Amino acid sequence: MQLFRAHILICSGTGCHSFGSGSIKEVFKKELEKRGLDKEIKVVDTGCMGLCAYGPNVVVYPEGVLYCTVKVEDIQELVEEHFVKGRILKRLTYQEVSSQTLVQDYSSINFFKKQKRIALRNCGVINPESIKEYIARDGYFGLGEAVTRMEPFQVIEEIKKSGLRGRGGGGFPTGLKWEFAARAEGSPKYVVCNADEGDPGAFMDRSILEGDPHSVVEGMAIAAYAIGASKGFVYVRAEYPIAVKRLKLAIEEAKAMGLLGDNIFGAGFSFDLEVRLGAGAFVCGEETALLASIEGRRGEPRTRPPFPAASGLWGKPTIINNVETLANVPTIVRNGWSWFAEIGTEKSKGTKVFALAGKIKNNGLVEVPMGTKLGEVIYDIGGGIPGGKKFKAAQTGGPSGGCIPANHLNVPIDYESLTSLGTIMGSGGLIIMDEDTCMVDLAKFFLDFVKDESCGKCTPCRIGSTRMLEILDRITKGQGKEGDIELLLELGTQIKETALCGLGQTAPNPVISTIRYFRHEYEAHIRDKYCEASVCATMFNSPCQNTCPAGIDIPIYIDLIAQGKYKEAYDVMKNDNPLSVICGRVCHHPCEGRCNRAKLDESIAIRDLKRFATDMLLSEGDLPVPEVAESNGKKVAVVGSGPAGLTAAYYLRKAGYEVVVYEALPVAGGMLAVGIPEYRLPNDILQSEIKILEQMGVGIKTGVRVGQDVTLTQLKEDYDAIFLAVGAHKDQNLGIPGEKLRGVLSGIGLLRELNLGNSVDMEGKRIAVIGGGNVAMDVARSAIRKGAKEVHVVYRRTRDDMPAMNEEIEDAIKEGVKISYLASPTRILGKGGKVVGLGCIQCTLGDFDSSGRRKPVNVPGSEYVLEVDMVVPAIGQQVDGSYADGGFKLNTNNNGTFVVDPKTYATNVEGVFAGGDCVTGPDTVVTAIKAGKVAAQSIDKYLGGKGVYAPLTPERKLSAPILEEVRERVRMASLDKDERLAGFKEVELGFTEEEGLREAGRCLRCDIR
Amino acid sequence: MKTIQELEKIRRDALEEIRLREEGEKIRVVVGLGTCGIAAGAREIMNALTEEIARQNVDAVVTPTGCIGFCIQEPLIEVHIPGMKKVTYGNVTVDMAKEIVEKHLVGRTILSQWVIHE
Repeated sequence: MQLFRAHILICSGTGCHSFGSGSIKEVFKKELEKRGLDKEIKVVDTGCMGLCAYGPNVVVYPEGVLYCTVKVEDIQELVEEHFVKGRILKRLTYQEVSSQTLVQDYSSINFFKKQKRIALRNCGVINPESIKEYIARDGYFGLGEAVTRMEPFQVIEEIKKSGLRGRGGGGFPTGLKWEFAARAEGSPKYVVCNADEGDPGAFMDRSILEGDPHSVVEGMAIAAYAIGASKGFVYVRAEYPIAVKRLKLAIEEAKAMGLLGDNIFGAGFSFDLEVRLGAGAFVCGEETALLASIEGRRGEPRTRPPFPAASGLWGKPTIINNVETLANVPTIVRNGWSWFAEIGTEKSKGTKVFALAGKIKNNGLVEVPMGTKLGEVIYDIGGGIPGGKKFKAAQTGGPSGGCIPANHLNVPIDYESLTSLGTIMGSGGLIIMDEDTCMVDLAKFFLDFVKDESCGKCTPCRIGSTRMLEILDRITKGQGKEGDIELLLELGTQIKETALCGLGQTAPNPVISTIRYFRHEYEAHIRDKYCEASVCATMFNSPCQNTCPAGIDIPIYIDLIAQGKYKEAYDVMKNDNPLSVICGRVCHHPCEGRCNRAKLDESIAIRDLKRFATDMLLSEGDLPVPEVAESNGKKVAVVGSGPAGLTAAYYLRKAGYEVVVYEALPVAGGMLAVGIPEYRLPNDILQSEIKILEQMGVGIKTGVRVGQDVTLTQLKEDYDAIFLAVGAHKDQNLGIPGEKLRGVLSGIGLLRELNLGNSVDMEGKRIAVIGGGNVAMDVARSAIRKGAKEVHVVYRRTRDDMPAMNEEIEDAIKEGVKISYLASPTRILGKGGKVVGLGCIQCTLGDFDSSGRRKPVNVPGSEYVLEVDMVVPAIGQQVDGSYADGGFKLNTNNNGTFVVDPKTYATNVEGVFAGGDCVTGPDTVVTAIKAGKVAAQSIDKYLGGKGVYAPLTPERKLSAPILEEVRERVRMASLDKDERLAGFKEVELGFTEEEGLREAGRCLRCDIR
Repeated sequence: MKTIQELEKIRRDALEEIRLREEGEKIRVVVGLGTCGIAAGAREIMNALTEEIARQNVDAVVTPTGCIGFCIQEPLIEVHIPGMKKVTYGNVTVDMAKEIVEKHLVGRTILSQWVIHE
């Protein structure tokens, strides 16, 4: 026998094969030969290792090093480094998602660490085309054990006691099924393996057949012995050529060795196996249709009973088991039922293989013990959601299953738990969806699939699925009607109750399940013609515009910028957002998160372009002042001059209302003026936009506090309507000891003092800022500028969970702010009434909360003290209730926010409207702008006006060719660190004209169809 | 296939072929395969080690490494046995390699006359 010092295992499953693992193998062989290493190092084909996202995968033994995404060009270097010089080629090793570190050793990668492999035990370890390697890993010893030492009924007992249940989806106890067939009258009996895997996104069965075909052959032989069959069929879809080839080879090898055929192990048991190819009908995965297909008849289901165990193939007792079920059987027989029964939960034993697909980093195949939490599979093994997006839901069970939303990430994966959530285990497809998935569209996708695959034998499935699809199609095209949801549910229930087979009965599940958890999305589609995920394209112009709360026509203004028409671009922005100059600097730009260009290279710098256009105008002088309609004689009071108040004032004034804005602080702008530091939004820039309102004739009364200087009752008498946009400025307490000490200052309070020009002494001090939002970042960055010696941000979750804008976090770190993640404050320490330290405790991430984020859990005994002179809590703000007077009572929520009509923003008092942070709690600038705009429309309507706002209807045509080749996003220049720390000068420097035009040219113009 | 014993025999033979891939703490013999090592004949040493380990049926693996800087002593090999200290042998010949497998890997006796570093 030839000896090798190393083995190179190359995945040859379908996934890696399609990435080119075949040629990788050839090039490896050639390279080894060239260097005379072919006698020392063996190249082996193997099955799926599971990390399909990083294919082709190569594992090198004895070290067990995993190399990912290996390309032909890499091989020379890999052989040189690893096999000649004995060094691991780090750049090709797996990068751990959570820690960003490179991991060499295959078994210490999180993806593999949390798995338990029974059905997949040989996949990626042995050569599936070598029966010897299978035997080396204890293959066929289960069969040997069964036929030589056990009676058939004992085998059935063993499987029954193990608790193994059908892995094809139904979860029927396997041992019981075998017992029915064993007891059934009739001869011959048959064993059938259902390898007609058809759920979209599921590929467990394929991988097992490709990576370890003998485990299925052995499982079938054991099953045959148990029920007294001597003939078996594997029904496998023809679309799996590699699986079919290896399965056939495995059967031949087993026959050649006498492990199939007559008198196996000399025990008088004979078993023969045949492969039957399915022609690709989904319905043939249904057992009665499958049997019909094997018999050579049309693949249509029939009613049950009789069940196949009593009357199956050619009317004889037949058991049908799924690939994964059978792959578990040999190990159970070998290790004993109690070993298997110890794994998993009370009613679901063993493990389950899942094909992780969709929006997940580690796309691939995993096997986990039953009872593993869904969140662990998605985050610890799957590596979470790519691109910093939010998890929305997971779909299990394919077209027969349903979805599980973010608030159920703690669900243990087993048959009963999934059923109670309205879905099913299914065969193991686990499709992960993020915020970019529209749930109505998802339901439509599955229903479209089922409609196509319906065999047509029974009316409920054939006609019902088509009718349901028509309704869904209408809803996604913006033609939904009231009552559609109820109609879908009624139809769905009827199909469930009356369809003939399992497929038909479960066909409405994706619709019913998405309505159960995401009814609001259906309602938004039907009532508001709005698709939050920007998927249902007939309802919007472009994803960026659809995502912008203010609804700005982004592609149009970017196109105008690209043509150098800055004034026209500004007019387009201004139609939907009167605070465009401000938003060009501080908007959190959700639009960029949905930019289709990101799929090609990077999203368009939409916010920076907006700023660029306004910069170009400002450089020419004052901004243009819009025309104001003739006075209509009606008066509106706006309380609060933040973005919501200013926006409402703008639209109302423009339409001819007399508007007065009351502001308690000495400056106008609300949080824009006192919450955002100068280096992000310079005051002169802010005032240049507020000045426009004044030029339009809006009265702005600063230093007038409603509730103190003037009462609401008084305003109600003097004005025809009131818009309350008082914001959320009140500090929120931490609720820990020591908050009254000198040196504790609220984040928002501190920013206010700085912005009003009052001095806060931070020179040489050590400061702890508590929180992870934009306020915390603003405080930390301001403190650094004010000469603080050390600035620590203490945040109880991880960086990915931080609500602050990513740019702000990056800038803070760049400027020298230290961030302690997973740390929670416990007390503020004082000496002589003054802060001397912040007591903290380390946290670890525990279970998932209802938002789908992991809860921080304190680590006992991990307390430590951060020695600081100042502590600044920045954990959110509340609405200050002091505006109210005895005149009338506004309804508020528990947290002090106003209760308003979600459509009109009307409060419970007639003529009084409210919007912005005082309704939503602390939120973004552009959300407040939307509130101001909606409120202005409602107020106008209330006062009998003719409308204050109309969306633009521009002609959508290309002004230049679309640039589809990769083009990097233009990055805005910024001050270097020394200049930043020297004061409060604006950090971002804007685009040059060349940069702006270049960036604008990158737009893909999704609005043109 | 008539008996389990027959299957057992196939398993034993085949196990040798995939032994490298099995998990568990193994003995490691590291061979310096830098230019210096190769020039001094380390490749022959490596092959000799692989053969001898198989012949003696030891659960050990042979892995290469780069130059460790002591080129004058090449071929160099390091023996790592779980629970024992690491031993480095210098100026290793094919015969020495075989003896190291027999005495050190199997017999757990360090051949101190050839040791250059413990």
